[in-house]
Amino acid sequence: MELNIFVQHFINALSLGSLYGLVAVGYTMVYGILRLINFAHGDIFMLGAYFVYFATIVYKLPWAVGVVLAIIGTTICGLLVDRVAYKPLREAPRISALISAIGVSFFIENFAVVVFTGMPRPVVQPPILMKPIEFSNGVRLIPLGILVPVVAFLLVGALLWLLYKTKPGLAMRAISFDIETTRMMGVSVNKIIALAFGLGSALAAVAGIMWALRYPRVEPFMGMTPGIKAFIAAVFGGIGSVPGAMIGGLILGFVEIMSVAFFPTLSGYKDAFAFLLLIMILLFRPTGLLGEKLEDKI
Amino acid sequence: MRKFTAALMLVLMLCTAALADDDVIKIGVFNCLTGQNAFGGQLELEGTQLAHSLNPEILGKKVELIIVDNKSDKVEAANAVTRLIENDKVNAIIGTYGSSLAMAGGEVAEKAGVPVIGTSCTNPLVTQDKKFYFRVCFIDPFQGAGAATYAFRNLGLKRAATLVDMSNDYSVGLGKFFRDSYKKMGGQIVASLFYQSGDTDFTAQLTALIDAKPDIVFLPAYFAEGAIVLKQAKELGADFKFIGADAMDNPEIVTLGGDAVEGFMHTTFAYDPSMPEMNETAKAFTEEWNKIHPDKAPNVNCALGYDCYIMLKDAIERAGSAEPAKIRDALETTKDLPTVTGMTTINATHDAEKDMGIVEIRGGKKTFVGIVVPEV
Amino acid sequence: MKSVRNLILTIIFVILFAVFLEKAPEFLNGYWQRILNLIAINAILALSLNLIYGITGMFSLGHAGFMAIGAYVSALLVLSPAQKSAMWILEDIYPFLLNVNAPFVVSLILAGLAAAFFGLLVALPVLRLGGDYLGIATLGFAEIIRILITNMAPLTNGSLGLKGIPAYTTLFMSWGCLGIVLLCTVCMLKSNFGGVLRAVRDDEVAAKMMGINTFKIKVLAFTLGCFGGGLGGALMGNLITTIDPKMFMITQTYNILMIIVVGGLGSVTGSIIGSFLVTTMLEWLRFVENPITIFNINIPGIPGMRMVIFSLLLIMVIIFRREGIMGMREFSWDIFFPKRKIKDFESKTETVLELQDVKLKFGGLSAIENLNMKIRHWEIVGLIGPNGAGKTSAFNVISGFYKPTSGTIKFLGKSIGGLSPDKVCQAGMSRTFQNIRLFGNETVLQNVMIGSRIRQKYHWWMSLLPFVFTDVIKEDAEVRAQAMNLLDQLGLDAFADEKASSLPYGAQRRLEIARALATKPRFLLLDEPAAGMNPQESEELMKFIRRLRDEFDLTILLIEHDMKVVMNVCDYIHVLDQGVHIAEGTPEEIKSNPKVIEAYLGAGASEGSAA
Repeated sequence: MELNIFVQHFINALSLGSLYGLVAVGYTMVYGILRLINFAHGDIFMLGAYFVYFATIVYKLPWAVGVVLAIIGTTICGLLVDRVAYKPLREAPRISALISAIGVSFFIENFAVVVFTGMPRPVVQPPILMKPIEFSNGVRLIPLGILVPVVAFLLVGALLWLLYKTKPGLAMRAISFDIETTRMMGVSVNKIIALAFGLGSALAAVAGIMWALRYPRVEPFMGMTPGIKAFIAAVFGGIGSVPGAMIGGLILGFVEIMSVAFFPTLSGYKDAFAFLLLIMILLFRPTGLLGEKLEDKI
Repeated sequence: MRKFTAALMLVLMLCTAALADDDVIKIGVFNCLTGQNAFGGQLELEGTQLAHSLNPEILGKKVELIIVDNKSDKVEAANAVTRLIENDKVNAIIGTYGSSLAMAGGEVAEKAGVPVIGTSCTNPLVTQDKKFYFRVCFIDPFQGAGAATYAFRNLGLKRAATLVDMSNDYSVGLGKFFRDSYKKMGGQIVASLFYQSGDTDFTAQLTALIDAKPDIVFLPAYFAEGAIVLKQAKELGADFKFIGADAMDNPEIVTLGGDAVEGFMHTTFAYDPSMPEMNETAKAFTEEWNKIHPDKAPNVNCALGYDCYIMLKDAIERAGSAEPAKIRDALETTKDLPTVTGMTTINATHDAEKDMGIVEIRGGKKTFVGIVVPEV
Repeated sequence: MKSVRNLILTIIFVILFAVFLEKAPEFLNGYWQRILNLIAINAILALSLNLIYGITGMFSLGHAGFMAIGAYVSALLVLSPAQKSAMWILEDIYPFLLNVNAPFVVSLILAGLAAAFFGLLVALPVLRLGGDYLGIATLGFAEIIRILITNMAPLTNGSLGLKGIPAYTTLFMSWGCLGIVLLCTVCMLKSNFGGVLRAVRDDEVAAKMMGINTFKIKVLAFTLGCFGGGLGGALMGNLITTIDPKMFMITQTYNILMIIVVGGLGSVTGSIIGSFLVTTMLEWLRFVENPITIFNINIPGIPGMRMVIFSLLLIMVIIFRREGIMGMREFSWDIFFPKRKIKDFESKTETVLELQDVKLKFGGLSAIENLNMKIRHWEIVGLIGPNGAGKTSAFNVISGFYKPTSGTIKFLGKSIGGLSPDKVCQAGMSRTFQNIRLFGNETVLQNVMIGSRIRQKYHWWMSLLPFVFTDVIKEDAEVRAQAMNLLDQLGLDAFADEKASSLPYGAQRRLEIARALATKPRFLLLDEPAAGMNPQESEELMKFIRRLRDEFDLTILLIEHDMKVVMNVCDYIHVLDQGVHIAEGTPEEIKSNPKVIEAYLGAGASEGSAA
């Protein structure tokens, strides 16, 4: 492989990996606090993308306004989902909430089919983000490819600041540690959980918007694959760990791109490589790269 | 509990069992109205419904369309066809987008002896060994060869590559038939890459393709994926051409792909609203469609959905009866039937023999280039 | 009498149902027969996943993958060579595959075995993982299986899939298979082995202490579940008559998961009700997609509405019945095995536990420094020390939960340092826990019976067919009688059929001891038996501990904070402070030992901060 081709692959991998990371961060945050595998995360992500589509294509609003509205709209949807489908199950066995999440996922997908139809829709890509920068050796990079990792890292930073430097963040960590004790400390647990959920949905919206910018097509099932990929990325890094999710996303991106780059004839096995690596990592580090150790207390 | 089950079933059965009505011809439609393939199934259904609204009566009898969703799922497809046959007692069935769904449903219809006309299930296996399955579309080997012929003979390109969806039977089949024909004609296949349904990032495959320096890449994808592939190819500065197949035939490809789809070609059925010379059926179809859907141009899926109904109508009229077995016999002898997608003749394997068209995106518009005759 | 009655009822029901199936084609059309078939297949799939997840507590998202293996194995075996050669239109089929052929029933068994084999391969590495990590790892394997099937065209025909599979799945086939699976599952779950499975789910640590090799049990349950998955997949393939890799995506697993949770996780009856409800509901709801006329108002059919309503119903069921329809309960005619009293609870002891220079370090932190201890037969020995002294760590090292960093532990003359808890238990040592770890969902009697599993001789697979292998019934009855006897001796007999978690605190403590005794130990470790007891209760406890020693011929080592208990009941006392062994002697000697007093007073200030 020539160097310029390799560099191009590297850039591709970075761009894809940081997108995966971005989806995974929201996923892992909700998990870290509620211990809920939110199977509907990918669908909330899809709603975010649809909101942008409606704002920019249907109602012809400026792009930036559309993005802000989409984030707000998605957050409200996320809070609604929490209120209706998860909150009544806070004290229930975890599997109940999980099945409820699967139900929510089915609901949002099919609701979208009914309301938006199955037809894929386009998304406005601001030209400034899309005009490729070409280097002398033929390597190309679109500005969006830089924007995605930057946004992702900024969000991870902001999230870490929130979790470790602010009062609500402290409350969130306390809830993830022991919800009952936290309640007794006078923290209004439901508000904090709603906050976490809103935050998770906003992150999903950002990821959905970025995803729709990079792969400009929205359709009701667009969240399925990113949802599963985010799950994998989050587990790679240790589910519940915010920096871990970012690292997991990057690893996943690199495995997918590089397996095709080095073994083009095996490109049909691309996803198998990712899963194989995931299982290997779990065998050596049963709770992911940055996951907290689960010691059984005796 | 189980006795309760049986009782409940009996009640449900009584509720749903329709009374046989001799004055009505029942035509079942099973298609993917939800699930992964909903975009294709919905268009085909609209085509069928249009044909029905224009021809509400056959042989002086009212035609009732009974529509069942198969959720783009095999188990559901088999259930849907069983339901149409057993509960609704349909005379014939139309459907579906997606060959694997057609195979699941076809097995049921075959046993029950009810004829089915496939809309756009192009895999050769669908009608293999089937007495009751027909289709209004041509099949993958024919189309793969058509794309290869156009690329090699008409465009004179000697180095080709394929980018195929590994988990999609349609894509895998076409890719294989393209490569075989292209090599037979003397062309060189320089790379053969894969992706999986649901993927959205193709930069790795495209970069590998750029590295292999083909003249043209055959992309037998669905249009929604294909548009994204073309966009990314442009971003990466790929300078080779792309050619696709009938699943790329959708007006939305331009809105999705923008200027990245400019110059993209694909094989398709011999119908496009941009055709300079249309036959009468196609003209009528286009006019009526535009009346109902002024904001949406028709594509081949709509046309094929429409054609199924036309073909069925023709068969019932020639048979002079709506009995399933007689419809089947009549369908088998369909010859030079004018349909939206050209003259349709059913061959010995129950596949439609018809012309293949080439469409190119020029100036942001789908433009019908002409007919190609594949070197099979 | 009751059981005879129930058995007769069951047989009558089975015969009636068989007659119903026989007559079904006369009054049920093909559509309803298909739905009935699907119900049976879904029930098989649900039962098998329930065994893995509901009963044994392993979160598996890989069922679709095992279904795929079963479906392909069976399909490849029943398809005729002519069909196969016609179907592989893209790549050539492997020649050896062309001519393999087997009857349908054989193909079903092989399908199950193949899925079980892959299940075993998957289980051995990944069952070390816990909780959600296990879920994603099994999901990963299922996806890998699917990708392999997609890519290995000469073997599987790739994404084209297989078609024209003879429709061998008849009502008798599917319901017959369900009947067999059901019979085996119910028998197994009723045996003591089934109790062991549930114990692993409820508290793996405590199960280990009962001498159960929990890893082996988990692998076994997983493999069995995979067999069911393969069987279900094979039946499904032969019903639909065509299969391809896309059928076996994660949504397929979700569907099964939905069924077992709606029915009730861990309930066999629930799985069957769940599969009935979910399957019929999905079909029945089709009416919402057809145009309906209500009071002359025409509502056009809306594609997709069916799934919208279905998902709403699903969410509602979960919210209003979070445990599912059956919870963990089961339907029964009240079948119970007869109770027989068998006397004799013999036990011989000649115990010496010896610790030499045992050290335990976590990273750089030293939990125990050079612990030397000798415990003689029939002694009751106390282990005391302020909080954080390393007492529980010492217990964990002795009972095998931690591996000592260095030093030797000899039990009855054999070295047990580094053995796993189940091995230590089998050597004749048993323990209780500081925080009570009962199998809360099991009855008091079942809790004790689980402890006896290690002494039962029948193999697990015999429990699938107890009528053939009557040892299962015999041995379970013996164990039951012994357990009753034990409960009797500890004054718990009145609670025998109560749920363990519903017992009063003191009784739970005694039950934990009873459970420990059921493994017939020679040496018993009690971790803070008096914790949380009032003075009167601890008074009784002291008598109880002495009585235990006398009646069961035991040697006892106990950790206790209640000095009154320690001083009254112990023959000998060891004192630890911050991991260091600072004193030993008779209660009198310890009371006057200045080092001990210093340790307690010095540590008094920091009490409560360390755990």
